[in-house]
Amino acid sequence: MGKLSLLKLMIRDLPSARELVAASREYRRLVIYKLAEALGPEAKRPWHEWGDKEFAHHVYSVLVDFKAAEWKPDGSLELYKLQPPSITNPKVAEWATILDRVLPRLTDALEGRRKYFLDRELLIIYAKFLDNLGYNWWRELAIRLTVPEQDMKNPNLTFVDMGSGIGLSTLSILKFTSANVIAVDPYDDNLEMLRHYVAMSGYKDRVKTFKGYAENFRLDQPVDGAFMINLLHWSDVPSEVIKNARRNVKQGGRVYIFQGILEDKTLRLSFLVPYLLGAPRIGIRRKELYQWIKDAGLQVEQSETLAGELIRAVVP
Amino acid sequence: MQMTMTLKAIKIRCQKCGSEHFVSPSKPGLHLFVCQHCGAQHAMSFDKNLDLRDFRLVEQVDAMPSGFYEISDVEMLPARLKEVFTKLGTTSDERIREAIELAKKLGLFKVTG
Repeated sequence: MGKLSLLKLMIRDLPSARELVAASREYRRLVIYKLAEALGPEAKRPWHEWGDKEFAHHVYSVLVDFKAAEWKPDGSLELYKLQPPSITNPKVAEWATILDRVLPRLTDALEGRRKYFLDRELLIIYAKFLDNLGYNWWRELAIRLTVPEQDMKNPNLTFVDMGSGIGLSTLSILKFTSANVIAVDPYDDNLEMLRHYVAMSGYKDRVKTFKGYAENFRLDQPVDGAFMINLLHWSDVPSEVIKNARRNVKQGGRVYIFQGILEDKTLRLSFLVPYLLGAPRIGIRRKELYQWIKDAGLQVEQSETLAGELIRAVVP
Repeated sequence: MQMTMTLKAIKIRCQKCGSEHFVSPSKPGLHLFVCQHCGAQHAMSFDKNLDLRDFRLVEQVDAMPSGFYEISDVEMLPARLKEVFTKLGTTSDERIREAIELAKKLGLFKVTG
């Protein structure tokens, strides 16, 4: 977490800042404990002998970084004995359930045999991962911190939610703004669930759906703003996603990118779940993220580091 | 020592055709009942004592086959669905209908009777 961003949040919203810090600490302990448990005796296998070497190195590295293991000369790990973490925050407790369901797939993933989240067995884990108290809270916090107040209140604006998935990001935008939202996702099943979520939450009249890939969809008319909330690691070509956001937003409009990055220790752990659910990339690096934004010709207006990069950029 | 569990049998009346049925919930929370006679779908909620707290007709285009359904995996219920299901009594029929559709899509219901 960025110290300056956290300080700003403390001034603006002390309870949220406190909760973010405390929950992040508990979350890290939980994930490390569960990850070490899931890897177990397999840690004796050197990382370079696994089918998915990049992922194996990532998993082993985070265990070492969080002092749950140490490297052995052959590239395997010596796991330390960890105490089960005490979890008091309900937002973190929900992650325990998710991890218990997804981590049994760890060795398959290390072998290079991952399934995609649309697989029936994974769909429920995917839904719980996207719709849990902690993630919902973070999305809402990100929107409150980055969307200017006049844009929140303006019912004449239209935003596009790129890679909306089953609609949890869309719901957060709808809750904290008065704008209309076009939700874009390539999968019919996702869009169908999104429509149910939106109707269930009473926002049916403010949402349209559009089937398309974030990299190349094209709306009939450019809109006032685009959101991409933890989308980029789900794309094979994230740079194209950002360029396409620019194409679909009016001049003077804004592009909001809320994205976990690998440099954040907590988020290095968070990438495990989407990767196990089929995301093509283990994570995004800060430097490449800002380079893609620059290459797309967007101008960064605001940037915070709070459990991810929270970026507001303008289309010049 | 052999343990025996007594299930509570609750008499309900279909709110569409009026036929009477018995259901036996094994856990609290949201359940669905689809009438064997007319196929009308009802949402019902039981408290921790398995007393019926809410029972209402929630018809859907794609009704489920007749039977008594419970949430198969309560822990995996997504947060926003859980919120609707736990506040059944104060939630509109439309919201419940949409929440049930979502739970069906996620394969969260299992028939128990």
